[in-house]
Amino acid sequence: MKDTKDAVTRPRDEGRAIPGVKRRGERLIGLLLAGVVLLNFPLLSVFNGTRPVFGIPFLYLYLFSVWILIIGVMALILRDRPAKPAADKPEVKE
Amino acid sequence: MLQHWVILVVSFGYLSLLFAVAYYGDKRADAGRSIISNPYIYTFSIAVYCTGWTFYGSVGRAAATGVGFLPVYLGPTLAATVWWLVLRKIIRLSKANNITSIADFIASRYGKSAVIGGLVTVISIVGIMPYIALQLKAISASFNVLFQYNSAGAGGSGFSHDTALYIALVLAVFSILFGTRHVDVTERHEGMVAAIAFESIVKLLAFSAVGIFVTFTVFGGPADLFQQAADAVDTAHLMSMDSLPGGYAAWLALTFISMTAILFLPRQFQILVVENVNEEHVRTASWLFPLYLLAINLFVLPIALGGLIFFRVGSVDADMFVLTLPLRVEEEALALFVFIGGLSAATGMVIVETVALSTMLCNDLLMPVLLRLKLLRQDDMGKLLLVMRRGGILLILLLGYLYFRLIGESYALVSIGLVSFAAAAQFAPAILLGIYWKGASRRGALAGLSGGFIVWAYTLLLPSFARSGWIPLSFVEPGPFGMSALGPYHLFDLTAFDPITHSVFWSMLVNIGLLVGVSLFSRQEALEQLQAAMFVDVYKKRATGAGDARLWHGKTQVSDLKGLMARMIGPERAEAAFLSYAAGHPIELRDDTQADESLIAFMERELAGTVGAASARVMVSSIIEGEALSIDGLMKILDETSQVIEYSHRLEQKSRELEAATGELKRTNERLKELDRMKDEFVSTISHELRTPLTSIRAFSEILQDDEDMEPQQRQQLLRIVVKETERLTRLVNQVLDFTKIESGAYQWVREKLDLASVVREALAATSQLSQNRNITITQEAPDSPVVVFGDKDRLVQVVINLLSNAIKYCEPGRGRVHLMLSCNAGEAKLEVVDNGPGIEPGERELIFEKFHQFREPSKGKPQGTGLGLAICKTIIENHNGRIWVDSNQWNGSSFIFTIPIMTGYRCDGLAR
Repeated sequence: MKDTKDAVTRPRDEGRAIPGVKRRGERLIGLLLAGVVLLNFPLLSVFNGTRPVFGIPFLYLYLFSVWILIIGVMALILRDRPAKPAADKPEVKE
Repeated sequence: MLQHWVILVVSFGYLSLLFAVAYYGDKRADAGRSIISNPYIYTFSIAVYCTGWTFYGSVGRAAATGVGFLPVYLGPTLAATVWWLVLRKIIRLSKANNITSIADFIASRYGKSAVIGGLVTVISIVGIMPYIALQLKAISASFNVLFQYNSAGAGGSGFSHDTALYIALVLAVFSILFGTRHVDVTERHEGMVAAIAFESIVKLLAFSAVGIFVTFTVFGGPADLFQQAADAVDTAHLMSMDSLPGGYAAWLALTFISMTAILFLPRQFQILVVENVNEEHVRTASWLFPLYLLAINLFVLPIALGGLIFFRVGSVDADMFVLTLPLRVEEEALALFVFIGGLSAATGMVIVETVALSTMLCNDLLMPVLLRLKLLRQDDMGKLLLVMRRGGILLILLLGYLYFRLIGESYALVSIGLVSFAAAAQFAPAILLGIYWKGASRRGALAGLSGGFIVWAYTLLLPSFARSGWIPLSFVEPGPFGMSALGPYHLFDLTAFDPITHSVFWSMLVNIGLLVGVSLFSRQEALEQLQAAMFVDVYKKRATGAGDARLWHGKTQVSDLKGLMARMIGPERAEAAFLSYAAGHPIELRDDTQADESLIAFMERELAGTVGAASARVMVSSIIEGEALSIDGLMKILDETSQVIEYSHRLEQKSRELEAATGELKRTNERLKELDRMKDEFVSTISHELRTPLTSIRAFSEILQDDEDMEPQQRQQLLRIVVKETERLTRLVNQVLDFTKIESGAYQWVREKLDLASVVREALAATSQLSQNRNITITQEAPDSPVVVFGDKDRLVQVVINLLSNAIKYCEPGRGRVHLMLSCNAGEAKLEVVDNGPGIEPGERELIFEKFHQFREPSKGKPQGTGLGLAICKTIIENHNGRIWVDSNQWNGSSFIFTIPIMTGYRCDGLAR
């Protein structure tokens, strides 16, 4: 009896996402830390070469790529609204 | 040729256009159809971050230090990743408390302290002074470039300074027009925000235009540009980190102060927090604003390299490459557009910054002082406020001009701006710790802010004065009194850093150290604790400001309160405020009634929107008789809050326990119902089973009793049936007894060491009569060695007998064959009883071991067993830790198989291990 109960509840608990806000916060902090690491010593010194790629100095290419990457990931993380119970709060009309 | 008057007309024309946009924005706001209430306008208005520094200075910085211009934009990008968490919290707090500026925010957090508000204001004004000077320098330099292009050689430094003064005055007028047109100074400046968003678009377009022009028209694309740069001038050092003074440490420091500057520069706070319409806009701005930054920086390096290729080193100020490049190739229209873009960038900054600073100056410095000195007894405070703010704007711009006069020529644009960034960074610890750590105290904040500010001033501001000659140069090098350990650029002989990094390191060390240290060793006052809790837990609190009410202990009349409000914010708005309060509360607001605590708190909050939290507090307490701040009230609130929290914790706990108990009960109930159903079934089946033999016994006995003339032979036959039925009855009762005994656990198992082969032999002997009667052939095979198990012999015999008799019963008489096969394998004894009977359907194979499940032969209809035999077998075998099941076999009959583990310590060959 106990086994079947576990079998029923466990997948449901795992499948249901933890409410958006909390996960989103963790993801954003993760992104911040990743950004700080990617855009500082010592990783920066690894790319501190002068050999150009497509005529553009590699360091610049690296910095701008990481930059656009951070922006993209941020946009993804912040993309959709957290699921709010419909009755809870009416959306503010803009 | 660009005539002077053309340049001037275009400049004023553009400023008028900005003003028109602002006017339109205000009109729309008044009509209730805000144009700034969308995330895109919000994002563009945040881009007020990009000033003359970005527009002109970045190129100069890139020409000198390569990648050194980038951290100032990477920092805000990194900071924006957590805007959703941090900025949103600050916005929520500011809206709840009617915050008007960053000084107001910090003061509010630390117990509405007027001292803190004043200190933050002083730091802001002194700290931003260089930044405003930067804008004046950028605009006047760009004017000079255009003018000089026109009349080569004209214009010296004197002319330049005059230009800057005129510009400062014109900007002051415009800022006053933008920021303080209304008497109701508390509203957000919608028009200003609209104009700022507009100028952000203009500056981006202008800078991109010149970037694209240089890269693709003057040169043949980026690759060509970089190639030519590499051929013509020594640019290799610009492509690496090596040209950045201070190296990686400076990179980190610049990133850090830019991260704080994007939030805590007074104008950024104004735009991001005070002017924010809807905190949901942060979601879009978080990624769109960094994208704006990226776009405006894309062409910085190409323009810098283009400039280096075109102009001899040192012949043209690299800060002005953006303008001199189009002029060099005689693209006057483009140059004019670029000039407008630069004007946009600089004026935008100046307008927002001065409005923000003058609000702070008025609310957090002048008002508290005037209130303290009891100099404010005027009737129309609104007008005075406005005068003070306008005066503030003028004062701030003149201060900026003064700083520009002092250091103007000796610094590059970015170096001036970084001094201001380092000042803004001083606010970060007090705010960030303030909104996440309740322990941060007023004394700690005071110590941290002043300590950090003093270190900043000593290490960055004073040296810049030294360059202007106000202070002897020897103050900087080697240091005051010739002591190098006191040198502002190398305190305690710390020479590892460049001046900015050096200053950031020491000021942050002192700032954070004092804030945390003093907070840990000082006690908070009541109001401080309340504010701290409210700031940290803003998301948990339901109604804002509800806790404030009971802090007002004294009493005042409604008419007094009304009078104060009218003096401060004008009679109409005061009336409106009272009406809006009355609408939400069931009280009658006659002039002679006593104002209750919640009304006073409400009005204090309204007032805070105009004069700041600290001033509002002082003002309201000035008209209240008795003690303003009631300790009892505070204790009551704290006590109540903790009680409520405690209570709700306990409730939660209880409800969790209840839930668990309910689940347990439910399960038990299900089980009980099942048992009850089984019991009913059992009883009814037993009764049914008992009735069948009883009926025949009774019937035959009655015949015997009634019919005395019956022939002995027939009588004999009837008696045999009666005996047989009685036997069946006995068997059934025995089985029921056995079964209930075993099931209920009351049966005493007699376990001993025994050979399973002997069990089989006994069972065979017991069933030999039956098999002979039905003429069934029984064969068996068994291993030579004994199969030793530890079990209850009688019960095991019962199992084998049961299986055997079942097999015999269901086989066809005469042709039936039953084979017994005993084996031992892998520690398990196994007995198979194989017959060639009708076999059992696969679907039935599980069921036949259940109680009262009777195997029905389709042809005979009447069941032959009691339905308990196999159930008993199963119980017995399972009690011996074995398994029993049924399978099909090669004779198309069924095989009943059980296994039980052999006795521990024995092997399959019967020997002890």
